Amino acid sequence: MEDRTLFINKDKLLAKIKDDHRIADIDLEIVRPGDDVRIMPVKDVIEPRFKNSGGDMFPGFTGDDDMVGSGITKVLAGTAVVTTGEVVGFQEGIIDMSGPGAEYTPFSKTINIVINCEVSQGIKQHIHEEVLRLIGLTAANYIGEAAKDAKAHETRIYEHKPLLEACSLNGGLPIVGYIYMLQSQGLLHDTYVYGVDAKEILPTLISPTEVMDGAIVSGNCVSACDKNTTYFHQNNPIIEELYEKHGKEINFVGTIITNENVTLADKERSSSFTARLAEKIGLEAAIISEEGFGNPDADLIMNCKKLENRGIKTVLITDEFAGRDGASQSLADSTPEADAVVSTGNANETIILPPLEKVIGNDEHADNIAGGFAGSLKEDGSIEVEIQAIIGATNELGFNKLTARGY
Amino acid sequence: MLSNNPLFSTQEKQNKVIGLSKEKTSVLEKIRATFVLKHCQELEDVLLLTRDQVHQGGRLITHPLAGSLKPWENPYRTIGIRSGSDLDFASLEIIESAIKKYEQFFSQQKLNSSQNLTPETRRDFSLIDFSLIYAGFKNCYGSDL
Amino acid sequence: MAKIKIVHYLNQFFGQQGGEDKANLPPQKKKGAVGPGTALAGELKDYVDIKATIICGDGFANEKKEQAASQIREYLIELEPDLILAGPAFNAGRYGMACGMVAEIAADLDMPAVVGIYPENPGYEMFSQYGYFIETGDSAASMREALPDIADFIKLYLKREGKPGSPEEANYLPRGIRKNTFADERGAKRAVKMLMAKIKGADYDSEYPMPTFDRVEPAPAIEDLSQAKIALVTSGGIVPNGNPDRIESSSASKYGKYKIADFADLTEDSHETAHGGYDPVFANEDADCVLPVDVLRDLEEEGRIGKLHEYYYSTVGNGTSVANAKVFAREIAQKLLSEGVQAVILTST
Repeated sequence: MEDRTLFINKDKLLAKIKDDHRIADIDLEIVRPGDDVRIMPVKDVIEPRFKNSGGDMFPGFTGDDDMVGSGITKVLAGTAVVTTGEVVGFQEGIIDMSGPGAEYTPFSKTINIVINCEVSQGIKQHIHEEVLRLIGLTAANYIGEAAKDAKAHETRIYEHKPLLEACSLNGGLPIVGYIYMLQSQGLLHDTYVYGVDAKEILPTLISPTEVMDGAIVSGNCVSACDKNTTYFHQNNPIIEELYEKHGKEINFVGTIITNENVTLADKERSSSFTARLAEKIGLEAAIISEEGFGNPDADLIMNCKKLENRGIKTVLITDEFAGRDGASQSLADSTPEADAVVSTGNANETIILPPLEKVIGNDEHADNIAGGFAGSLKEDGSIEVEIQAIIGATNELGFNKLTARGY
Repeated sequence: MLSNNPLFSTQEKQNKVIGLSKEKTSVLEKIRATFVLKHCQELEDVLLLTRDQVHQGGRLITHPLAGSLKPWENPYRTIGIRSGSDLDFASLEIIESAIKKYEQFFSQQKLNSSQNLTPETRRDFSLIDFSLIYAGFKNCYGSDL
Repeated sequence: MAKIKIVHYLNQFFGQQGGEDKANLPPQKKKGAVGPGTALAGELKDYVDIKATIICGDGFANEKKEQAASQIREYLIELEPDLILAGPAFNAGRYGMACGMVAEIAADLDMPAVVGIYPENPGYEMFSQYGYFIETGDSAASMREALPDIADFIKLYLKREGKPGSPEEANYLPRGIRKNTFADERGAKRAVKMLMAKIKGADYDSEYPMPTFDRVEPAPAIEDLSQAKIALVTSGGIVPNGNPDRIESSSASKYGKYKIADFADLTEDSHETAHGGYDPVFANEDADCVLPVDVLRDLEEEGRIGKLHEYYYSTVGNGTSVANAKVFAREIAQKLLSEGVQAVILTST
């Protein structure tokens, strides 16, 4: 780092990440907000961070298995590592750095260090996903190291007290929590907590600061608009907003992570466990965020119902799939208890993305990406897609300002 | 188990083509041995037959909207259902709303699956569908399978 | 600003053609404004020109739907209006349905439609996505308030060049269409604010209202069916031949109570359906397929049920307003209770 400028030694970084016989080709490019560039298909986005104390980033992967969530974490805010690569034929995920599409993705506002990687022939999809996931984390760590001795331009202190102490503090303020649902349905639909596959966990408490230190890593490659990239986990806006009010209007005592599994028995168990845990730690109210759509709507509704039935007030955050005309039912499940919902937009609404000068990755697959459809790649290079093809467009952690209204 | 995934077809031994790991192949074999497998040609048949089973007392084991691809983008779907005697209202609500979502995205889905899928993409879809079921059954029947 | 061209749709009554006796009037067009259209044209005199009025009997519009629709469609193509106005229909069920149908035709022709209607009119629920439905009172007594509201909406619609804004801003009834827009604050902040409001018990607006279902708690199960008196109630319109109470074929304003103690089987010699909107051939041939008296007699004989109640209640569900249906249900339930009935089988079409 020189003052606020980050310098990257491309060869050194590539040497760090390409030492893997499964990689056939790898390259790196830097793109900036306003560039005439489209990146697709995006696999994950990660913010480079460095821990001066209190463990390493991404415990269970690149970091030691030890706990994180305390000490000093430095953030290279404004930058992001973006990995691309076609894991499956219907891959997804667009970042436009300029034009109308740029308004829908937060990653048009970051300086992106894009790693374009292809794996060797015959590599299975789940290995491919893993290779890309590890490359992204390793690159983010390498870049993050530049922050080690850099001076912070802004300092924030996040306090997370032991539960009993936290509950007895701030007397009289309502005790509030956060129910954090993680996509966990199987291949390309996975999330990891301290390296553990989230579908194997029972709902448990995690401290918000652990989340900031990369305790939650995305292995999710589907549904670009509402998947939580690792960047979104590191910068979870719900956690930030709850901290903002903490000690003043609310007492934010805990975050419960839970999963979104395939079987209904798993869904019932996880939601019952979540509700019981919420009750045990004395929550009076909670925000519940979903990841993905379709069957996770069932998890969302179960969590809502079971918390409300225990007298815990809930606000849900979800996106909608109301069809291109916006006239269909938005969710696959509903309940009268869900009387406070924040909508992050109708993912089926279409947008025309004009051609951009340069495409990093590959746009021949626009037709097959989630949200694209037959004929969507036009002759002049523009593509008509549903906004669900755009990374983070309807993020269900409430990262963006997009919403849908009834007309 | 109802499925239109070619992996579950009794006629074709597709797992070699798809390249399943040893572990998954053995799960596939065990699923074939454990469950009554009904293979359907069309996705719609999977849904309608599931609904019929629910009306005959069946209880859904897996959610019919499995996965978070675009609704019904995946042309293959496998649904696990357990036999029972009384109508299970929760299962009925879930399958009915899934069919409703299917109808909503039907025309587009048809377009996608009929025109646009290369054999490689079909293979990927098939694998994703299998992996969702695999994830579910590993959790439910882990030690048995 | 140039005035825009409007075509107005009215039923036979507001179109000054006559009352129920003219309900079967096929669609016809008249030059200029008629009835409420004249008053509206006055309110909007600097903005619009009501070029023509299409008038159709409510009976015709509801019972000969396809014929009515294709004629109205032809008129609209020929008249090329910039906007179509229908009603106000208030809470008149058949009229509301006809106005909704006009909006649907207009939407198909890419013409904007504005309909005045009472929110419980089934025409709104069924056709809300096709036009802008402006709330009115439930009867023509509220005409005086309804017309300025409709006029205000049209002015706003023109001022905003066809983009009137949200239902709250522009004062129309929600169309059930979801559209994306950028809010002032990010979702997470809105969620925390909403949560604070919910904790305090303060007002807040959910951004996605859950679909509402009027769920009814089921009554406790009958312990011994073989001792129970069972009644039949239908919204399928089965009546004794000749329809003695003249229950309307749609948007029913009444129900009937009829004796079935003497019947083991309903036949075309005894019963028929008063219901419009479905093919009545089978119901007229054998009314048991809507009101299963024959099967219940069998069950009675087999001792599986105690007794079939000697009366049945019948109305027509076709386009009948929720308000009317609630009144019917309350009265029928009360009567059944006083008649000692333990359980009811409800049939529809």
